[in-house]
Amino acid sequence: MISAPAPGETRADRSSAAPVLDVRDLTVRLKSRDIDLTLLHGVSFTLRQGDVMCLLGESGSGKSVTLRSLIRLMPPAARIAGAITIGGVDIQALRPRQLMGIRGSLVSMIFQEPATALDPTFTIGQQIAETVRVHERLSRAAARRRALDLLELVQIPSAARRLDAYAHELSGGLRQRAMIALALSCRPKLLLADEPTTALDATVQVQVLLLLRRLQREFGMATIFVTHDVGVACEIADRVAVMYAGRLVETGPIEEVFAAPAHPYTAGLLRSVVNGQSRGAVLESIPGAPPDLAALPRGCSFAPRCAHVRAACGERVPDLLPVSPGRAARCVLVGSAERTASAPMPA
Amino acid sequence: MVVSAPPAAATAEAPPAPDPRDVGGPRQPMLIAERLTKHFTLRGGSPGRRAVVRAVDEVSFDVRKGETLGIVGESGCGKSTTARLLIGLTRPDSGALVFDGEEVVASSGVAVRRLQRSVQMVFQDSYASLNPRLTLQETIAFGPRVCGDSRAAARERAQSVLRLVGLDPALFARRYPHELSGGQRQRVNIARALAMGPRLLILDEAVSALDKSIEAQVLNLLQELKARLSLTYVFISHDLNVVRFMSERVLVMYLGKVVEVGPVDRIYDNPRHPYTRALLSSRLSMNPRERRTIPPLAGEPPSLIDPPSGCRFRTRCALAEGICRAVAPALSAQGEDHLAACHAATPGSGHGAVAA
Repeated sequence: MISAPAPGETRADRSSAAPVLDVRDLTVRLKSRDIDLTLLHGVSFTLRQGDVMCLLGESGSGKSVTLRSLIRLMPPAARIAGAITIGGVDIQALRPRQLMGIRGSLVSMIFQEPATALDPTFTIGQQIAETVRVHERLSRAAARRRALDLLELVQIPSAARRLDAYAHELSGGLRQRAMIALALSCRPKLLLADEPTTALDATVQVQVLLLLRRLQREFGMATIFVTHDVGVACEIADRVAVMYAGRLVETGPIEEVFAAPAHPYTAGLLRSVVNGQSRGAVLESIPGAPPDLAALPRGCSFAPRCAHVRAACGERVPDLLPVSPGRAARCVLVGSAERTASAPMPA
Repeated sequence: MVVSAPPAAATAEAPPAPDPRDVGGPRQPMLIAERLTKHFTLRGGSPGRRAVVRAVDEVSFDVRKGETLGIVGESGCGKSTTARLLIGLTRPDSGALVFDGEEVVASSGVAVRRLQRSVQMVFQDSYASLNPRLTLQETIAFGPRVCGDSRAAARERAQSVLRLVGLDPALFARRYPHELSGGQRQRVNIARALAMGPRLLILDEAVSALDKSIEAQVLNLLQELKARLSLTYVFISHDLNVVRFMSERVLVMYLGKVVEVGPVDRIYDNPRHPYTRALLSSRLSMNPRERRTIPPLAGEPPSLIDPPSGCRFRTRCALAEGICRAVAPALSAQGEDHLAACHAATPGSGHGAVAA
């Protein structure tokens, strides 16, 4: 039976002491004959059991690269440096075979496009059963039973029939549910979700977000949710980490960060969300476009678009400075008398 | 500059300046769609028994001069097919289009050509909709050239519309699409549409693929262009907040049918169709303290190949009754300028909710 681990279970106890995920100075460089790009510049964060963190950022900010690098799911040309510890396991030290052993069991991932992430040549039931058999050495019958339980857990109607369906026979929403079932099949301690609801329609997106929220709570998983959508972050996350040009620029509890952003980029991003502005008003946007990763400015990457820019911004990349307990921002204005024009979320 | 620009202060509220191209007068709708229908036949199966996708089924509405009409709905509801029908990219199986008082008839070439110059479209995928082998100037000048402009005039035109969308021709005219960011490419697509001197722009998810900070820039540009060039927009998007911000009226579609149409604030504040209600309440809260707790709808839209009888929404509707299975509801008045196709909102329909 699949059920949430009981509170007394040893696995939960062990992980409550140490963080489930610890990332120190994660740097990813893409280097081959004709390219040399640094995609991530020293990303560090920690997740405890049950934490839900959103990586929020625009395309090219490095949020998906961060997620994939955690389980070294990157092309061979990518060089991943820094320390990654998941559930006490040093990911960087693992050999490819060992890495396969933890992917899908200790940590698993759901993707934006279930249509391409699921195997078109196997039924949903076969794919879940295979994962369970590989990681937990169950019998065929037991694995199939587990697969059925999982499809019921993710509320797929007529689950017994859907077990023998191929991915293309399911609608987008059901496919994403099947992928969530697959990801949860071995009760991971850490769930990585890469824009899992972006491709879904509005009415289905809400259903899947609510499902993920419920399962996350029942399983007590630490979860990282990559999204570009402020609304999705509001629905799912406890903490938010805003990324810009390969760096974390602001981190903290989502309610506090969104109520009073400390970094001008976060403030600009929140202000440019269309939500209740009156018709005909000029929207506040961030001027310019994100920088070319091959030619980052010397100091703060956001400086060329920032309204609060000053001489110090061009000298060196600002540190991630504490704003208040649990909050930090990478901006020279932190702690100075002049606060950035904070933008409370439009009501 | 070739494109003459009235002062930017002219806003959408001001009465539209008389346009020399305006044949039907200001009260004549820019475009009337009458019972537009488009079914696609799937390949495979024996002839005569092939499955038919009823993408757009007897859709009627009008687009008024100077307004922005928003179209919302989920994937497969027919909003993109409707867009393609409006611009003549797809031929309707039946139904009629009336552009500024003149019926667009396939057999008479004149009206069709006028439609094609006057109605232009901007697509979602800014990269796929530009030819990678043409410079931006060549891409933009292509339409005017085909329509008979001289090489020099077309080039001049391309440069002036580039300026209009905020791209300096000296820097951008000779570049190729891959050298641009997504936001810049979408500006080029808008410029290409404007090069034909259109009166109506169909924006099919034109800002959906852009990052939020860029989306706001492009939305501002679209508003500014609309005022400067007295344009009319059909704005198709799945983002309900953006549609409310951009549109005066909104059209809600479900499974190839119009379920509700009316002034945007009326519909957002007081939706009459149960599907509109569900769609609007599936908007995310934008406030971490007020999260959604109950999904407004279960399941997903049924297949277009064999849509439900009667009202197509009845399979997911909490108000469904026998009448909904038997009779397809027609659009009925819900107050001034507001129509909805729901038996439960139509007195005399026989639905229990409105029984006397």
